[in-house]
Amino acid sequence: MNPKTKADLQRKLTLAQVPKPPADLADRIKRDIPPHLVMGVSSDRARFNRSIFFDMRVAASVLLLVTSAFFALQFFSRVDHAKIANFEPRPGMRAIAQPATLTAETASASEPLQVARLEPPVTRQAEMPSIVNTGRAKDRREAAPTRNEPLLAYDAVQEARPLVADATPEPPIAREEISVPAPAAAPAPAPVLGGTFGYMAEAKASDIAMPQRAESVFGISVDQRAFERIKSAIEHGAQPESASIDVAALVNYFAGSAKRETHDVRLDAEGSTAPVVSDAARRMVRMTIDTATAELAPGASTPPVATEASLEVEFDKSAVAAFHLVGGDGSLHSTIEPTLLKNTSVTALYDIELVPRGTSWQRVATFRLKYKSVTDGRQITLEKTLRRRDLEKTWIAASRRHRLASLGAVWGETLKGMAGANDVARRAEELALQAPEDAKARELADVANATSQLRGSASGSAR
Amino acid sequence: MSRVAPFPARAAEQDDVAAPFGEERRLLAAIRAGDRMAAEELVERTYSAVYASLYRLCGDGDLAADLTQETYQKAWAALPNFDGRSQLFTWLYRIAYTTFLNHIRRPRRMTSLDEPNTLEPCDTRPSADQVLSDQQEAERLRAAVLQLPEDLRFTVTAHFWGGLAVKEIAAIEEITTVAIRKRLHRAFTILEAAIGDVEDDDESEDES
Repeated sequence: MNPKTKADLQRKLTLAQVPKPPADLADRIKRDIPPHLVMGVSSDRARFNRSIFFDMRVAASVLLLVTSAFFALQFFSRVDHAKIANFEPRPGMRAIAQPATLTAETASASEPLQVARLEPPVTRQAEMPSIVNTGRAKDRREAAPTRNEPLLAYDAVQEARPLVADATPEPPIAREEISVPAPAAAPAPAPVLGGTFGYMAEAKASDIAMPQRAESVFGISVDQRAFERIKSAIEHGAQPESASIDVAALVNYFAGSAKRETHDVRLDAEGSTAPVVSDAARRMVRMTIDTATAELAPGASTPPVATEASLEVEFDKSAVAAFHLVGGDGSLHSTIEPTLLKNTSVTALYDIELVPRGTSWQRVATFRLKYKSVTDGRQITLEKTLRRRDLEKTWIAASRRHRLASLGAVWGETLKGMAGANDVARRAEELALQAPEDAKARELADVANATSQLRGSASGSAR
Repeated sequence: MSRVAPFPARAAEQDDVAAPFGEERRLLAAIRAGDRMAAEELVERTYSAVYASLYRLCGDGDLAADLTQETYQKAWAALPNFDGRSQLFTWLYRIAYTTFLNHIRRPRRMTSLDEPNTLEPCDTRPSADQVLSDQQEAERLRAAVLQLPEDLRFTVTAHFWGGLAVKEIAAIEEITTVAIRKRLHRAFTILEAAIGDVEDDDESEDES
């Protein structure tokens, strides 16, 4: 392009004529000026910016907090795992060899949870004669009288060894020695007594001499007359024999039945600190099964509510150092109940010792109840899981049922010769005063006071 | 249509438009503070130049007025986003140009570039033939400009019809002034060819 052409083009572009704008154009434009928009938008924008910055700051703070919490938990979790891995049982505790009936599944060391799965029910009534006749068991009872000592740690824990305590280096007592149905020398296949857990309570010689149980559900004594017998003895000023005290039945007596109506079957689990325990690691774990109630005519049999019921109790090895079924010999005797009747309430109370440290959501115990409903034939599974945070609840904060059951258990153990009767009496009195209408609490307070007085007079006369 | 005013409007319009930078800031601050009089002052200073730019783009006085009004409507809405990095008129021109492009892209109101709108002559004196000839030539030029590629079209219209300096256009386009000058050179080459072809066609038609 030559300069002349370029200049001509520029001139044409530049000098193009333009009409003057319409006279009213300026007014039209001015009319469109928003009265407050400019200022409003500006201030809104500033406010929006401030809001965005504020939100971003808040979001950043929350993100930082969550991240910090996450890493802190990760760190402490690793510390806990390391401690668990190096955990040594307390001097009073002893690791028990895995029972012979462990399944391959539950025996796997890599499994974090191990299931206390028992053989089909072997009733106490069937066991007892053969146990008494078993010479080896007798010898063991005589040779190791300290095993008579019941569970539960009291304030004076030094004078009363925990039930699970056994410092003797001898091999663990095998379940078959106790439950052999015949005097034969060869032990029968053993029902697992403590589940598959690494640290658990041993069977006590006291169990051998326990009275026959008229009623049991899942192998747990629910004999309602057990309390009356003890009460009667105390009222006559006699100290009940240790061997005649059925602590599991006492637990069930004081736990009682459900206060509210149950539709079919209900599974309940609760944990707390022990009523008079001084050991910070000790917890009381309660599992209760309630069935629907039914009005029965005199002489009528109780109708079933479920069949093929099975109960699984799992304690997480990483959370529990030791556990023991109060009034039992380690764990449930049976996990299978062919028929669950209506008007049934059964409570199992476990005394457990937690590992020193753990996360609050760490699973401690899982109770799983499977049954076939009579109503509709459906297979139903109920499950309750207790985590560590559930067990941080103090005994005072626990439900009344839990408090009565656990205090009844402690009282029963006190009767067996352990110390702490005064503490139990004091607690029972508190419980009774809190609810004067609660007859069972009053009963417990009365018998606990009587027990305390009995023990006081006994110790005085001994001096 | 009022009478045709000579371009450039710089003498009359750009003096108002290209207000001192400090003055422009004061005006903007007053508008943002809600001063309606300042907004009206801004309109008074700039609307003629905006109108002229749009008229050159569309070639229709009424349409240019409508587009000018629409430009300011958009400007009021967008004023909070104006960061002040360019001059106010540059910013306004950009809005006007976009408004025009949006207009010609509307299907129902598409402005034909092949059939230019006839300009209503405001002066009907005997020299009308000459005026008409100039107008036809200007229209051919306008049509040729609007046929340019987008980057060249904006550069040419912003520089010659919007009155923006090369430096301002470079700032808007975020390229160097050299690149703008190259664009202008390319645009001139295309325009020369386009206008030359048209003139050749006219001459051949006359001969036949």
